[in-house]
Amino acid sequence: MEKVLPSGVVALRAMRNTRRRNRIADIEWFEALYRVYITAIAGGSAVLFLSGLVSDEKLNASGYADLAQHGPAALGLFAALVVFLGLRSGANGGPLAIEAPEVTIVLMSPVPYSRALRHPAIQRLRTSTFMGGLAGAIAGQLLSRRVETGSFLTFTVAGAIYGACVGSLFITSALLVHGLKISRPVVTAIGTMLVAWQAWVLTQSLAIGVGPFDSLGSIVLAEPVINFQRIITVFVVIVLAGWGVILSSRLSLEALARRSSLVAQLHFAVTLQDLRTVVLLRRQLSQEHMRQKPWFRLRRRRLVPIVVRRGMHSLAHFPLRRIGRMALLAMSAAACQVAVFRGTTPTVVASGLLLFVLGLDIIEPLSQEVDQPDRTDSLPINRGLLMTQHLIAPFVALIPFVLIGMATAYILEPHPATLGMAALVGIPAALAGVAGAAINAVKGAPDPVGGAFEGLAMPPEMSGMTTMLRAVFPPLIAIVGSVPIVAAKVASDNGENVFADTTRASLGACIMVGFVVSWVHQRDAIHKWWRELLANNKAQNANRTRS
Amino acid sequence: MSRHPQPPGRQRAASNSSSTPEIPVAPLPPAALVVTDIGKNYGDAPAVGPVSLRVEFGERVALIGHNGSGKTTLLRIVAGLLEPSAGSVTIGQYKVGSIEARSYLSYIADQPTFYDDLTLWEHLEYVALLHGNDEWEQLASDLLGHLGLFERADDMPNRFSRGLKQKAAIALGFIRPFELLIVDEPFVGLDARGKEALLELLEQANSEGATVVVATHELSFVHTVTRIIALRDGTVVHDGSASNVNVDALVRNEDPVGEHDDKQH
Repeated sequence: MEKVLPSGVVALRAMRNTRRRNRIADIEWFEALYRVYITAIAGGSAVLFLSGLVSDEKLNASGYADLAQHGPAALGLFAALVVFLGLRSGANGGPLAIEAPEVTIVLMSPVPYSRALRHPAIQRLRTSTFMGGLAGAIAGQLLSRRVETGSFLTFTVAGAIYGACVGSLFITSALLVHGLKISRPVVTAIGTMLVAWQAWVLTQSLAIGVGPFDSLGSIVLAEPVINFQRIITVFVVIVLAGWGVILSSRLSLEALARRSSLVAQLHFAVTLQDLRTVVLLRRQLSQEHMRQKPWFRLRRRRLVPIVVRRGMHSLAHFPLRRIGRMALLAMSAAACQVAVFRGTTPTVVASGLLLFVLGLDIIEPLSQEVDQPDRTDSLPINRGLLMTQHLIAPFVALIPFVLIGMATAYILEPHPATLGMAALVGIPAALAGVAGAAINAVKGAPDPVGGAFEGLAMPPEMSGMTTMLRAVFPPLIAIVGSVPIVAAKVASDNGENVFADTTRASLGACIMVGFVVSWVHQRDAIHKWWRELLANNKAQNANRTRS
Repeated sequence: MSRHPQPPGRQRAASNSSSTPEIPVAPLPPAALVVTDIGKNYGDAPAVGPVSLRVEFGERVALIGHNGSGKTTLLRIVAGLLEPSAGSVTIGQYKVGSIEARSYLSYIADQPTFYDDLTLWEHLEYVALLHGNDEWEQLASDLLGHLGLFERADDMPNRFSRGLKQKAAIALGFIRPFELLIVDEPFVGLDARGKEALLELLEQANSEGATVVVATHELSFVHTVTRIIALRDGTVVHDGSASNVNVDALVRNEDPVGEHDDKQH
């Protein structure tokens, strides 16, 4: 039994109140309201966009039967994936990320961990549950527009309950794994088994109830709103959440200390839209280190430029986890492309984004070069050429992932023409993913010809919009690279020559990738030219004013 | 300085010695710090260990070693901030990380961290009260005056310079009651006045009965200790009295001049 210093607990509570007061006193209310305004506009636009993607046409009887049969298992699969992520987070020291001084001051004082950590655990659980509930409510109301049975309110509430349960399970599973100190391999095995089990139930169209998350998935479609199954499911989720909060007192101080500094940096990087730093910090958080021993060794050949060799050396040290994740991304992107061909056009966005994330991983040699600007500038080689040569190794390394994507497409759509079509759409899509990631990496590099030159030609009102465009542009390139599959679908629907149309679209995507590579090569020259142009204009204006 | 009236370890030591005369091999009485065969690996790379140490009550110990020798890792394990891959640590008679051990040990880290939204004075209040020190205000004033921080009491320590942050961390380490003080590289970034103030605080704490373990290369402190522990590549290469070794050579990471090899591990 832990002895509790009453003054310690009182001090903890009092100081949390003081800090809350200090924070409120420091709030810039005008800026806070502006943020609320921007969030409301962005949130409203997102909901309107999503609503636009879902047509108002009601499902027919067979469509509804299909939804009722597969819906619970599909929603269960989503829940299983979220739980898998939660389990992994717990094994990596998550889900809590408290402030660094909270570790060194509160957790090293004689205040019981149960008192010190319960508050942040509940806070994290509450946020995740609320966000899940909100997303679920939006999805529920979108679904209600397509289904004859059930009211708008029923689906919104049911969606909110499902979302809240899934959000809660994410944090709960992480807390349980961390608190019970289950090792990472065991956690991965359990999570994979749960996902595979649920996926098997979905693909085999087995009866509802066979999958581990069927009952959670059936919350959305169950009738009436308040029924026994729904109550039991929610009750189980609440009990698990309670257990997770209790176990928060057993979280590892080492993991909390490690995460405290990393997560603070991560939030800062996200605020600055610095994707490279986000990627690096995510790797540190999950303790993903490069392999000491390379997967392969390169023989000395004079033909291969040293920059390409350096890139291959980097790829040879990729850890197995990263390679596995990249393979999973390639498979998921291929599945999204198959979904596009089957009629779910919006998944082309998901395909592009997945390949963009894959690209962020595979362009590691280029990113490392960008991370070391001083070293790069000291090399006796043109920077543009250096950056361009750094793209060769990632492009070569894409080959196995394209093959994995093709195999996935063939498994999902076993037709003789699938492999050819998969190669035709997969290669430009993968190249565009890398191109998008390369833009993201290179635009993070310092401008050797003098700072943010765009700012010189732009009124301040426009700079916010420009920043947003700069953030959106790289993933957009990746999404455009996935568009050939849409061309294939349109051609197929209109009875036109599918291969001819797809080839044209793929060529277009490849030309776009070529432009990106040229931009990487000529970026410094373009900056220099633009800067000189602005300087000349400025000088001419000054002369005119003087005369 | 307000400390626990009687350290639990010392109470236990007294009772043990009087009640177990007939046992042929008496267990060792509790010490301020007992480290038993600890090791710490990062992946396949060993950072520390195996290391075994026993620091008695009231000792003043300097922990020295070159960069990367494992000093900070060892101290963070002792403070409970890192979990050892093997072995165990007891503080007084308590398991590291237990509520009693936390109340017993004060740890001043090499990289101090502070809340963004509390002033230095509010930090001091918080730490003192968390540790049950209700009569903290006079001590806080004294500490701030001693360290030259009195004028900065209402400022946010997170915005301090490196040296001022170090001084603020020292004040936080001393505002609370403790029996064992573990300090990691406290002299780095301090000006001459700060170093002098810290030396006085360490001297005072030790003279009042606290055990002091400091990782440092600061000769002015190393010359005052009763014992020196030297680490190299994660293992103890020297552990003994400071009086009969070449302290300067040890601090420079050289072998102490020959004859005094009282390495215990």
